[in-house]
Amino acid sequence: MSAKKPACPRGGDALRAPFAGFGLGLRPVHYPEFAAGPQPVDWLEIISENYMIQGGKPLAMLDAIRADYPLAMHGVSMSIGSVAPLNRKYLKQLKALARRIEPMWISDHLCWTGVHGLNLHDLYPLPYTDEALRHLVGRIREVQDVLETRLVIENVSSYLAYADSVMSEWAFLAALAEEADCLLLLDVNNIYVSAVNHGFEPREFIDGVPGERVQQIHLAGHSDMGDYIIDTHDAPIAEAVFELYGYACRRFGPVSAMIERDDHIPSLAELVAELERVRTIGAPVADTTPERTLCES
Amino acid sequence: MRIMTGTPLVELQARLQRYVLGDRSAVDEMLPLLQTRPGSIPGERRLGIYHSAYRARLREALGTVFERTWAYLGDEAFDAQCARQIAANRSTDPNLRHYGKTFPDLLSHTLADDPDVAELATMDWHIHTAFDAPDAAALAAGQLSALGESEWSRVRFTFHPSVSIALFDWNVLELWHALDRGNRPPSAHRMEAPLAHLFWRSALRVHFRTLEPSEHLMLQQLLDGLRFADACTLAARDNPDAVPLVGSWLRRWLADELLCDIAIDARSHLRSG
Repeated sequence: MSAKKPACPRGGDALRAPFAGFGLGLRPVHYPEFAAGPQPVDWLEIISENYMIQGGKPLAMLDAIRADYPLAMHGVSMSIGSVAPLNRKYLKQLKALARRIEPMWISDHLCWTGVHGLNLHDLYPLPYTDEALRHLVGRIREVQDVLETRLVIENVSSYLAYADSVMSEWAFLAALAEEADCLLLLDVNNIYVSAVNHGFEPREFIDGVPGERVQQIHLAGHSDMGDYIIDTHDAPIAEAVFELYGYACRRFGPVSAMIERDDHIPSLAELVAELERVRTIGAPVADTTPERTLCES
Repeated sequence: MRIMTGTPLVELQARLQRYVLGDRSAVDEMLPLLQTRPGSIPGERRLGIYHSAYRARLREALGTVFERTWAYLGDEAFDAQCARQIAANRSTDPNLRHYGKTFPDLLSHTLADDPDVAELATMDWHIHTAFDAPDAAALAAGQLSALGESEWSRVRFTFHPSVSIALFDWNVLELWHALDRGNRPPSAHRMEAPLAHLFWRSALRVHFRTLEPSEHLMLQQLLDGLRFADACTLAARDNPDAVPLVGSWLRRWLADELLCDIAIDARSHLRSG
């Protein structure tokens, strides 16, 4: 295997990997372009499950791309909030993939995906209760022991709020991050979607999370259904989400950011152009040079 | 590990899962658990978003794997079969790539009068599993040519993990190729005899071809672990016309990278006579 472009070393602060710049989700339709030559993308995020297979072309492409780009792993099936036992086989496969590609960090969602041995393949929200908090803290600590790294937890977009909740989603995330000693992936599109669907002010969410634990930001598009919004990740980023991202940048300073596009995927050139808009907003608050240059030695 | 039972969180997740998997009749046991806000969309609509999304996601997974079957059936008929699959078979694996394993079998029952459909789906599935199979380095021709006569009598082959064989009664290969090219498929017809189809992956691409009965028989014996010499002995006894072809088969299996290792059985120390 060829030498990998080093993952950004830990060090920027005691908690987080350093600022990595501006990235994209790696999608198979763009493999040929990444294989053909350098692209103006600082880093890439993979959907972990797409590479938790035993062999073949996806892993071969992943190894080749990893030689040129730092990667982050983003999962959808950890089901960290489920009351079902942790899936040890899944965690073992996840760790094996992490050993293979040495990601900058590993993330998944604050959600559950099924109980009683079933997987519903969706990201179901949790109630923001003391019971759920205690449950999540224990699970995340356990997973972090297995993976030997801090887990990065993403806020999901949601269409349900539960009567039992005793705190806001952002208060729950803040408490979770501190007590589980984990990090956060803020999806500003998800914040916006949930804010519309549940009637809260999205800036309160950003104000309410501990900035020193925000490892990454996602930006994505959504679909406006009139009286609610669906987080479809299949459209360009809305202006309101760009504005929210700008607010997050002013609050948090430099945070590794990327565009997540899951459907109706456009050309790489179109995504790179959209990423330039993200960079225009995010770069002025960054340090003079993205710390990934430390990785290029 | 502490197993959670009977807590509010346990109850909430069980109820929501029941609702999502069911026909929405469980909505009444979910509504009391939801927060309501005057003027916002009602709880039943909110729950419906998840109910629809579950089905859409599994439908998308099936469409990705069974592309040619989808093209063959058309949108409406394929959607109907996916709906039956989703209703009958729940996902138990975190990886959606594994969900479609039971779909060909379902089609063999739901479309029993059109067995070509289930066979086409079986072909789609074999291609899919070959694509995801573990990697293994191909056996070099030199490794075989270096074997002595005694070793040839004791050699067994290990095949690439992607290798599989499916037996089809219908002209599935013709159907698949036409659909793959975007052409109108020929009429489906039952062949004079079932025909074996070989699937494998090499150079990161999935390949497939038909097997004549003699080659199929020997290949299946070797896949089952029979020593090469014993397979040749059986061929000489049961199908002498195939014996001259064995060398060409072996050369083709090597060239196609079906073989990835050899093992030499220990010598027998039993005395004869």
